[in-house]
Amino acid sequence: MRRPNQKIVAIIVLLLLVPSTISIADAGTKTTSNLCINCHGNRYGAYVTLSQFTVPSEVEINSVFTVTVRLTVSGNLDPSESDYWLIDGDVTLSSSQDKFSFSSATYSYSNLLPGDTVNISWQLTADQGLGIDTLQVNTFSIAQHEGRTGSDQLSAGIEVSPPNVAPQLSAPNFTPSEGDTNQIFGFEVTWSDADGDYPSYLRLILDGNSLPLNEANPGVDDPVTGVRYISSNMNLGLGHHTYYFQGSDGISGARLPAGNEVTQGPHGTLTGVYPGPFVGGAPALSSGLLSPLVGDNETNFTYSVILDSGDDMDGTNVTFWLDGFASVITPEITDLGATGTQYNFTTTLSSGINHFHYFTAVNRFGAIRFPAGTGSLSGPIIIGEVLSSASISPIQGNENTVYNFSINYSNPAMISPDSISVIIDGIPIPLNLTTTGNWSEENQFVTETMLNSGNHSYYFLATEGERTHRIPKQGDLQISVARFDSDPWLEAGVIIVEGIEVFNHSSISAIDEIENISRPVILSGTEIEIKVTYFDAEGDEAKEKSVLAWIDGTPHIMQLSDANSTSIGQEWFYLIPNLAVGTNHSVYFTAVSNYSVSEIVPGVSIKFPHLDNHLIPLPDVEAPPPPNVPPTIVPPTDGRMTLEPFAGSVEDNYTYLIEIVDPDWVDNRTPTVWLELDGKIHYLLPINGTDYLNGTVFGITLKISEGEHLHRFVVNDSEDQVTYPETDMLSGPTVQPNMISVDELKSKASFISWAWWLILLNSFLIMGGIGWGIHTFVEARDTVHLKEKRKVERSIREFDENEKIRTTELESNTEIWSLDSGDNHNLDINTDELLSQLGDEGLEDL
Amino acid sequence: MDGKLLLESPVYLIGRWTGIIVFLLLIIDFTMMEIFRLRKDTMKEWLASRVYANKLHGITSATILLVAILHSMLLAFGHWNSLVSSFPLWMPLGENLAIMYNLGTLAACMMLFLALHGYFRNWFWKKWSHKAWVRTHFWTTICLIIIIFIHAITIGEELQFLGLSIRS
Repeated sequence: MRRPNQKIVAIIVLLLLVPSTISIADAGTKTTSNLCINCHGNRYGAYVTLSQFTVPSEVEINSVFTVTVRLTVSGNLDPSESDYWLIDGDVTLSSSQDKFSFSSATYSYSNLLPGDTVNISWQLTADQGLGIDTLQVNTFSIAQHEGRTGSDQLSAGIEVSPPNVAPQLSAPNFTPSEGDTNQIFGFEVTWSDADGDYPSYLRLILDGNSLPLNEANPGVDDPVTGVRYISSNMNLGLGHHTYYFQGSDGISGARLPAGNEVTQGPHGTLTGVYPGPFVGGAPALSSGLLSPLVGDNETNFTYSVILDSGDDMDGTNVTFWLDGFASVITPEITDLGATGTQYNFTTTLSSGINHFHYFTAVNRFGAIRFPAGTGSLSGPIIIGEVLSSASISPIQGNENTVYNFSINYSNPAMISPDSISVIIDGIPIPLNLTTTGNWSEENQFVTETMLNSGNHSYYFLATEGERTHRIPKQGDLQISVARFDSDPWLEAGVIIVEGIEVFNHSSISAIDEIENISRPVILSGTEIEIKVTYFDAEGDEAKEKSVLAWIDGTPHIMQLSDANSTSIGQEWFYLIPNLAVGTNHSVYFTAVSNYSVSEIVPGVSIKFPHLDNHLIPLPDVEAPPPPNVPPTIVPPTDGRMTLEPFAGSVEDNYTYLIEIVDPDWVDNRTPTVWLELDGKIHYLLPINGTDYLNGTVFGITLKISEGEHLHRFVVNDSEDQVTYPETDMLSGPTVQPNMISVDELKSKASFISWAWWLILLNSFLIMGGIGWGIHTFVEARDTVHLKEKRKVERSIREFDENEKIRTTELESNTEIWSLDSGDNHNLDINTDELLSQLGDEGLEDL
Repeated sequence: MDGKLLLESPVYLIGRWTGIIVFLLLIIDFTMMEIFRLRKDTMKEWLASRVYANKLHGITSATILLVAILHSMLLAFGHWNSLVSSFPLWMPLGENLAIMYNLGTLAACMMLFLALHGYFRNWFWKKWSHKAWVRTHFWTTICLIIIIFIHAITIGEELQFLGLSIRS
């Protein structure tokens, strides 16, 4: 078994060494006749077939080569009787020209049965000369059972040729050196063979793929000088390519470069291949990512994309397009090795904008966009204000008020809030969701709570994700909570007259029925005391000057009459000193609480009686009699003296007169008038009738003793007493015993008698003066008339003698002064000056 | 009673009215002379010449002086004779109406002065000047009118309606 195996190995090695292009002769198939003919009733048959007789068509002189043939036994023998059909035989190889030598020409076999196959080979050496020869193989078979035989024969021609010169490959080339996937590349090489053999086999091995080569100039080039072979045009895949040429002239092969030749490639050394063209493509982008997908305007968002690894990364530019504009963000570049290069663009984004982005990469072979097409990548979601419509209701209240805090939450990223609370005075109170739905829509959160009185600060706080949101952004909101205050009230309104309670709350009546109330009647000026009691459960005082008694619609400020707390009742009063005369008086009370929720909200106003249009009646008031008007006392208005005479003798009658006016005099009251003379009273009586309203002159005539006296007048209208003068005393009369009495004087002439002579003389002089004056005036007027008359006469005369005067003036040629004594008054001179110069004597006659 | 009271006498009434007449004549005389002084033509149309005007003025002034004397005598020797000295018709200053009453006496003196001033005008003209005489005569007359006016409205019963009377 060892030797056949060694032969097989040797054959394989030989086949490998022998150029595969050597053709192998195949002589076809030959089958023997039936070796079991006429046996067993011709029910069975057995045959031996030769096939696959392989003979090279040409071998080089002295070369060793192998010839093989296959022997196959066939038939339809009964397997249970196979022992009857064993076949034996010989296979013999022979050469018709004996140009070969081989060790054993016959191969014998035995005990073969139908179905057995035997491959038989012979190793030949072409060492018996050049030329054409024929190899023949013959078989002779014999069946062991009956001894029947059969034979076959196959033959094939073979030429023994002289030694072959190996062909040469040179001038490898390809164009262009690089391109994209659409680029047409071509390879070429020169085939040279000293034997003038054309290649039986010439291939371009590109990236391990065998590709045919064609003669560039068929029929022109000679293999001895070199034939140029070119490949067909082709497109290549991306990357750096390697190639080599391999050919054979049928005997000898050629390879370029040699299998062990080391060449320099773009990424290092290569062995047995040439660096081929580089096929580049547009850069490839992948894995565009955004992190995080949600954030706020303070979040750093990182846009990343991977530039896929390529054979040539130089000159590739990656651009990040944000919201339609090429970003100027400097990327962070990370080498991911074989995966590629990662570009990270980090930035913050503003809220309120729907951001979109895409990437582009460009090199000399093209551009790529990620995502492809015209679309963009959206995001991230910028979460801005998620809180809105923060409110508190009511905005004012007291410590018993339930305050409703409300705020709306919406999140564009549809992120539910982790918590929403209102922080009141630093204490968080969670708010509860009142609506359910999409978080991108507004959802209301509320809570209700009561607050202590005082000022509180609060704000709303929400957290979602890693973000917090606050309203207000800075500072706090304020709310002032007032103390709870119940309304005060008035009670126990009473009306007291002279210590007697005449009306109280039981007297309250509607305004349209108050006329029917029976009332006591008091005189005007009678003091009325009205009281009311002010209550307030919280003990709040009434506002200053706010407790009013509205008497007939006019407010009057009431006074506090005790120091009680308002919680037990505080009594207020008002004294009506002089209620107007009339009926249907009424009163009601109002007050205002001093406590107010805020400065802009007034205190609570209350009224008693509580019902509108209800009042407490007041007594009716009658007018008292009108006050007395004191009489006036004056000297007589008719010009007479209060005392006549002022001085006299003891025999004179001294008359005292005084005039009395009493504006409110009535018939049944006659004023009493008297004279206090030296402390003694003398009653005076009316003179010339009585008219006390307009003035009545009272008088008395007395005899008065000697001496200086003092007196005054007094009048009394039964209510008031008036004196004249009001203070002091009047002096008079002066009574002297030696004086002539007035009566005596009256009996004498009232004019000094001797003076009548003077009067008479004076009268004569006056009459004389009047007469003289009239005479002078008449004389003056006559002179005026005379002057007018002369003026007329002179005018007539001047008219008649006009020519004469003119002639005379011409003849004498002398200036003539015409002096007419009657025309002196026409001189235009100052008469007074003339009088002063001449004196009256010189002009008396004029 | 009635018979014992003093009644107003006609002498008292005439005495008051002569005073009023004097005042009116004085105003008229002064006005006329001022018109004549300012408008010589008017003077000539009315009285022919200044000689007549001055003559008539002198007669009128003397007559006014006589009527004023009549006024003072009728009152001083009649109604006020108990309170007024006979000469020089002076009321003691202790009386209520003394000052205003004595203004009348002062006015009479000024009128007498004016009469003399006018009558002896030649002497004055020669002594000083015509203009000085005119100014003296004019302003003295003005003062006289003012004094008489005050005298009339303060104690004159007929002018009490003016409300300036000092009578009680």
